[in-house]
Amino acid sequence: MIHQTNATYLDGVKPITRSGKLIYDAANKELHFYEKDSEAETEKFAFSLDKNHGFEIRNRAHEQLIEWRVKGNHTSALIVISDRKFTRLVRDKYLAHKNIFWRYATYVWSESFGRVVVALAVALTITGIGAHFFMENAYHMIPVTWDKKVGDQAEAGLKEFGAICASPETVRDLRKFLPYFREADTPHQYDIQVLKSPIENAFALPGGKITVFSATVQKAKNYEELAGILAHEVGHVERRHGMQQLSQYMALRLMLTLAFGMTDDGSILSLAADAGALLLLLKNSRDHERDADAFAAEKLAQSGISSKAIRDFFDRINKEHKSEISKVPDFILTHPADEDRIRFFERYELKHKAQFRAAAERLNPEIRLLLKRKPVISTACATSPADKTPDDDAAEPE
Amino acid sequence: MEGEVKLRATFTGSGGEFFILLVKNFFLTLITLGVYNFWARVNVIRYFYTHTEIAGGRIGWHATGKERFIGFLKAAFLLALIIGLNTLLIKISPFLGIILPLGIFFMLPAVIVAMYRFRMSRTSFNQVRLRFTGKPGNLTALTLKGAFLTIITLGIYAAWFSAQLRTYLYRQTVIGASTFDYDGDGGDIFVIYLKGVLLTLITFGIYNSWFSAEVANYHTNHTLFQGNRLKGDVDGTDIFLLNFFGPVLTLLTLGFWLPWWMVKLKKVMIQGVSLTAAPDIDLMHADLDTGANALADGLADAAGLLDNIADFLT
Repeated sequence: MIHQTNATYLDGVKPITRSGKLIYDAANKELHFYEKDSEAETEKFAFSLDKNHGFEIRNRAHEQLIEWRVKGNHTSALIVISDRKFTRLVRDKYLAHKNIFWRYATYVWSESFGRVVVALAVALTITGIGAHFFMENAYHMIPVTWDKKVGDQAEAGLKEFGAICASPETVRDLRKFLPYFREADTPHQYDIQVLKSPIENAFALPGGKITVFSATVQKAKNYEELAGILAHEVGHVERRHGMQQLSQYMALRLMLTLAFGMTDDGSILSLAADAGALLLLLKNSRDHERDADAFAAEKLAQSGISSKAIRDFFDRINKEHKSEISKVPDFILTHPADEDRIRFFERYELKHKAQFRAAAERLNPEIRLLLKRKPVISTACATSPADKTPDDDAAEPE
Repeated sequence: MEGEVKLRATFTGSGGEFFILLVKNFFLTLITLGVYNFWARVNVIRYFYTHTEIAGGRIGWHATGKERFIGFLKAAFLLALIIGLNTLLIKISPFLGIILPLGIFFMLPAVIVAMYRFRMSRTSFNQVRLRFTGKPGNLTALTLKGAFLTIITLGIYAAWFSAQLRTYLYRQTVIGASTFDYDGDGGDIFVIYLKGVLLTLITFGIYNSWFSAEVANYHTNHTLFQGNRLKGDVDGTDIFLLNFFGPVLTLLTLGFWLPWWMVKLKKVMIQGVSLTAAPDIDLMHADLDTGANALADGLADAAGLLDNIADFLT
């Protein structure tokens, strides 16, 4: 079969557009171009192309461009046609020796908008699942021994909140709870310190260093409240949330750097991407809070310590700062709403009532007494209510 | 000459097409862990070039992602070698560590020339390739003098330096027997920038659009091809409107407006350029630069990647 279409030809040597006919000889798999001779009103043969010529087919608006490199010559020649059927035929027959991926790729991108959308959806899904899996699991590749190093690095950031102060009695009492909360075979070395601050908060750094803000100790009615907070923080350490966030952030940054970092026109694009990354990480951080709560609820029930106190703590925080919290939309908030957390602890304890009761029976009497005691704080760490400035944020255990 | 030759440049790109191109680039880059980036950038430049038409001919971009990638790999290897060697030298003596960075500094003109050779040899008018004929030697003298005077005049000389550099680069750019030329004057450029920066500050950035239009027009008006002057008449108002509504629409459409914004801006800049005389086609026969390669661009990419990595780690 012989197929033909009108075409223009640029030889790459002279900037003159020559018009004529492009003919496809299906039997011999050859393309021939016949140039129109305006004087003689005839067409004369100009050249042939066989499948050994490396060439590319591209779209430009409604035209199709066939560009090929002349062997032993660095320049390239171009044929422009606007006949989609002809192009399709040439591509399918002529490029049959090319690999299937390449043929499919050119097929999808040069055909219909619908196919482009489908291909994009598939690509998006695969990329999304892959990226999600990678981001969720990348931290497993980081050895546990690194947690401590990262934690030590991050500790410098605590200075923003206040100075570490000595309150040996508080630390000694809190330490007594650690064996109940940490995993039996924990690779982490726990350490508790108190930070002098009028803000209520607590931090767990990767590796096991837990920092309790002095206001949290002072305001706590009893050690039971602090035990709940401690269990939550131990949860962060055991589940390696800090490392997860770090590796997720690194992975995201890496992907975005790869996708946008080396573009020539990338400044606007990369800004948009950074904003997206931040929102995603905020959501993740909320998931980690829930996870730490789940850990705390489990450990509290196992050791027979009631979650009543931590529920009261959330309730109190909630009431004190209701006006401030409600201004922040839920999707930006790093912590789940307090009511949700209270309800979660309540439900968990109810569900595991038997386990909790049995453990409470076995609970060391010394610990049982300690739980009801009002926490002590050294004078070096104590802050007076006057220290609190009006714009201090309400903060919850991180 | 048969028929009327269209002297004004036209840009036929559309936001929709460019959007699909960007999306394709984005996903393939992600899936290939960044390797497709080289193809992606070729695609973007090619899109803008091939949709530009002037004097009845199209501009073309013939670089391939493959050669850009290979150039990058070679350059990355070279850079790793240099950094490794430098680390060794510093271990021997900290003073020896200055040798290689200094060497690279003096190699910069050669890198710039190689970059222009590659870019010009991959750019075409109606499929006929341009060619950059400059030699590193000339550029070294020019940059050394320019850098020195710019430093001692606290940056003021930069206007004259940039005009000289442009003259050098344009004069060395040819298509066949046709050359470009540039006759912009440092003094004029200095005044434009002084006025532009001051007015932009006073008007809280609003004047910036007219400033960039004036700069673009100045350079176009002082560019000559085959001895004929080009004419630039980009309207600052057009740029202002696009850049004023661009961010708003981009935000409102969750980013979807971005390709349209970029394409429209390109259209304003390109369609503000026209020739004042039809070019002589006979003087534009191909004279291809067979030695040009993508190594220098690869060096720039590798250095850029190093920057990114440093940025990422800090």
